[in-house]
Amino acid sequence: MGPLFTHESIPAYHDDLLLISMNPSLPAPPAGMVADAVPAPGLAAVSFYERAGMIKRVTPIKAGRLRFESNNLIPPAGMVLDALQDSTTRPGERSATVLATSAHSDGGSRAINLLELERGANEQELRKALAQDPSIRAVSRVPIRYLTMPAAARSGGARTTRRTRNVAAPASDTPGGAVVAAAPPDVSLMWNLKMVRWFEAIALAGYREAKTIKVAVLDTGIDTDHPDLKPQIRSYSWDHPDIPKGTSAKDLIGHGTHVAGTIAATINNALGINGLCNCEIHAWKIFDDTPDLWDRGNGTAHFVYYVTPLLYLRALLDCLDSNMDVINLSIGGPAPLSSAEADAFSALIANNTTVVAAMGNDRWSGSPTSYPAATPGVIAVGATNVMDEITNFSNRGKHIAVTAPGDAIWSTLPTYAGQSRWGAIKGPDGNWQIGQPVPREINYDAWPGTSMAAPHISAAAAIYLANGGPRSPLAFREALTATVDKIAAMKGENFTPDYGYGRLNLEALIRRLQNSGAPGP
Amino acid sequence: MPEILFNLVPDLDDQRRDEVFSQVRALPGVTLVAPIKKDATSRLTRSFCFARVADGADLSEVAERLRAVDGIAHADLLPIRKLP
Repeated sequence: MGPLFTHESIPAYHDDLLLISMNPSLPAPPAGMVADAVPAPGLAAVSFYERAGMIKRVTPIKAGRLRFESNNLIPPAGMVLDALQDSTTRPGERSATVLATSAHSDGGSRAINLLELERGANEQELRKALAQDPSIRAVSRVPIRYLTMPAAARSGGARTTRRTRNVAAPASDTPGGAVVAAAPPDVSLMWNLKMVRWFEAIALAGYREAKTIKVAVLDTGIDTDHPDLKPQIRSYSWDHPDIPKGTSAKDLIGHGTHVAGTIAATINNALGINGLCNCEIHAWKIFDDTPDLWDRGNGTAHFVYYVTPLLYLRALLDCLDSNMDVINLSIGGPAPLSSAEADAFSALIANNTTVVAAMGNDRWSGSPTSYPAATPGVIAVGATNVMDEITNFSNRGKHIAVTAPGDAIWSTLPTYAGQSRWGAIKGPDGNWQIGQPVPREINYDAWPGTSMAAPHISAAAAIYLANGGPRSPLAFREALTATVDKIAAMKGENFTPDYGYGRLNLEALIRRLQNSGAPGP
Repeated sequence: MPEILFNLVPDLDDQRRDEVFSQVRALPGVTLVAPIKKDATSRLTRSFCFARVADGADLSEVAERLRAVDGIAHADLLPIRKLP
């Protein structure tokens, strides 16, 4: 059987764009400096490429006004971007000069430039050369926003890039101290935290940490050794002797580690990112390691991962027996609940476990209803973007409860390699055989998806409970929907199928609790 | 090998449950019968079971036969779920 979420495969990154972050300590370029005079290897490479006619332009980018040239751009270092058009390479000006000048003129903060290549330029080769340049802090490719599997990287073999900012992992494959890949933003610049007023919420007098709240993540697994997650992981279930399914402990896909990071990456530990709370994470791996054939019937196919039904149901039962407070389900499928699944959800909700699920990412194909999101009592979450608008992939529907940030969400990824899916090739017998893996990033990455929005609400539920909210999914839903921001696109409506009741406002949620005289946990 | 999930009727005692398992095990195509959570702590979670079915067997037919067993509340194939 083919997948029930249909989607097309598109590249993960623009092959003609590079984001270059400069080191602020670069000395001022001499007046009239030409690229030929630049000794640094990366800038020399830029100069070489320019002479070959392979560079279209360089655009310095600074923190500032909220304006994107393209929705496909994920903001480097979490900044809102202000592409200064009057700073773009002018006729006669050398690209290397623009890069060097930006580093000096940015007042010591990180200068970031968008380098546009002509068609046919070897982006990978230039990226490597730039990464060896001590004047360059980091080089990253520009991800395309995509609607399919998160982090679907370019196919065609494993990459050796590493992301190392503040991560206790191997530093780099490249000499010169630069890294090849984007770094997560400074936590103060994480747009999703800003948007939901997380900083304001945790600064409220009397705010209580969610240390004792148990949040279950039923997903592709978790990297229990991730330095930014490890302190919060209380349990990880992946091996069930009575249900042999060929599953390893590894989170090969990385999706579960990403979801868990949004909920509970360690806060203010000088590593990577901040999660929303420091709750207990209890992870269940509900996927086995054997990909399933997805024959799209049009002459193409992939091998993808499906939820393993037994592991999924077993995890739901474990959650029931272990009295989980919150369950995050960033999974879905269009078939309604089976009787067993329905029984499990009914029991969980009756046990006052808050269940949060992703709406699904198939807006372009008409937003087919996705389960378990459409299950009564489950809080269904859609995804908004940095412009505080619904993303172009987030499903709409009457069952949506709220929205939360779900585009370009930086979070944790396993510190080891893995893949989101596999290619498929026709064997000599005419049958599909497994092909090359589609590798994902490691350590950290920014992903889109309602899968990334749902954990914001799961974390909000944990914070709500920690701050004295009653352990009742219904009470949480009422408080949540009463305190969301009614964003502009809702045009004054209280509810829309795109946004539900609005976008999460964590500060308002906690204020409401405090004003109601919540007794505390 | 695929599995079919089934729930026992509430309040089935251990002896009756073993009898149900024996009946299921005897069905054509069924290779294994077990509770999903052997260490379940509640009566409800103990009621969730599965039958592993041989490759090539007609799953719908096996599910239908399961539903006909006295002591089984319902039997289903769990729908596909995946990452959105």
